[in-house]
Amino acid sequence: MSYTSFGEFVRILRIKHHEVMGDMAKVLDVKTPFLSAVETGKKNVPTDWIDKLVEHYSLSEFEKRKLENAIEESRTQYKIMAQNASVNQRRVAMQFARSFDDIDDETALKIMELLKKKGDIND
Amino acid sequence: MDFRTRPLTRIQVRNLSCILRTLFDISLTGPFPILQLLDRISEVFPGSRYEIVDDSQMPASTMANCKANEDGGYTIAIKDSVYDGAYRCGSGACLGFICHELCHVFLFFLGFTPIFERSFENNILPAYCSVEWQAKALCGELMIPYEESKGLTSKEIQRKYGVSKGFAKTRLRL
Repeated sequence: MSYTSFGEFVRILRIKHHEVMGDMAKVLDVKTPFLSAVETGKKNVPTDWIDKLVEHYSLSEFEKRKLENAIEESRTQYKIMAQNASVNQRRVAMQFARSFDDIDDETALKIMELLKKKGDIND
Repeated sequence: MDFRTRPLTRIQVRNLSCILRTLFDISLTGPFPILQLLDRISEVFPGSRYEIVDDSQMPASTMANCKANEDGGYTIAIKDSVYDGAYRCGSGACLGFICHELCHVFLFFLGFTPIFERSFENNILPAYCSVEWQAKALCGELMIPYEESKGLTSKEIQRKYGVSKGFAKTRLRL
């Protein structure tokens, strides 16, 4: 499994600051294998890491936004809150989740385009 | 386990150690900063990377390994206790285990890959065409620059380059 966007971001951060993965694991207060698993996308990025990284490496607003984007692109799991969803909305969510593995990149891009167009029309 | 590959002499291995240091833009002398260089593997060897894994994910006798990955490079997997030993204690043995895997990556990229699928028990193949000997020899040359370490005692070598007693003693035999 290759580095995620988050993995790539922190790799460069460590090089810039002359640190190694063990140093960063200390900053984040986790074991090194956990940090490594997050960097390769086997685990999701814990939410409290943003503040810890911003503070320790004194990241600018621009860098913080880049970090947030990298985390968003690296997510391996998504939660859908369905408490207030209708039966049909739940069915759509389930159907999408079931077919997710079969969607190739090209189809995913086309779906994104259609959703974007729909969003533009509604705006 | 070992594999046969194209032959390499000790002198060639020594020269390769200088080339690898140059690839990482580090001095040809002094200790080899393997932990710092792990994060730069992907820049020097496209598609390659490293990961630290729980000890339970590897056999007890394996400290680290290096496998071809789906991106056309190699992935070095390092046991947590080995990384920790290198990071926290600066253990020469642990640093050596990690450096050994980096040497495999370099040699594989140069085409010193197994010639046959067939594997051999360790120490069966002639040293010069053994995948394991080549990585081990390169690792020693990388961690203890030959010319600079001439005339040093085992203790001095250990202290100066942060290597294990075994590595230092091997250097003295060359």
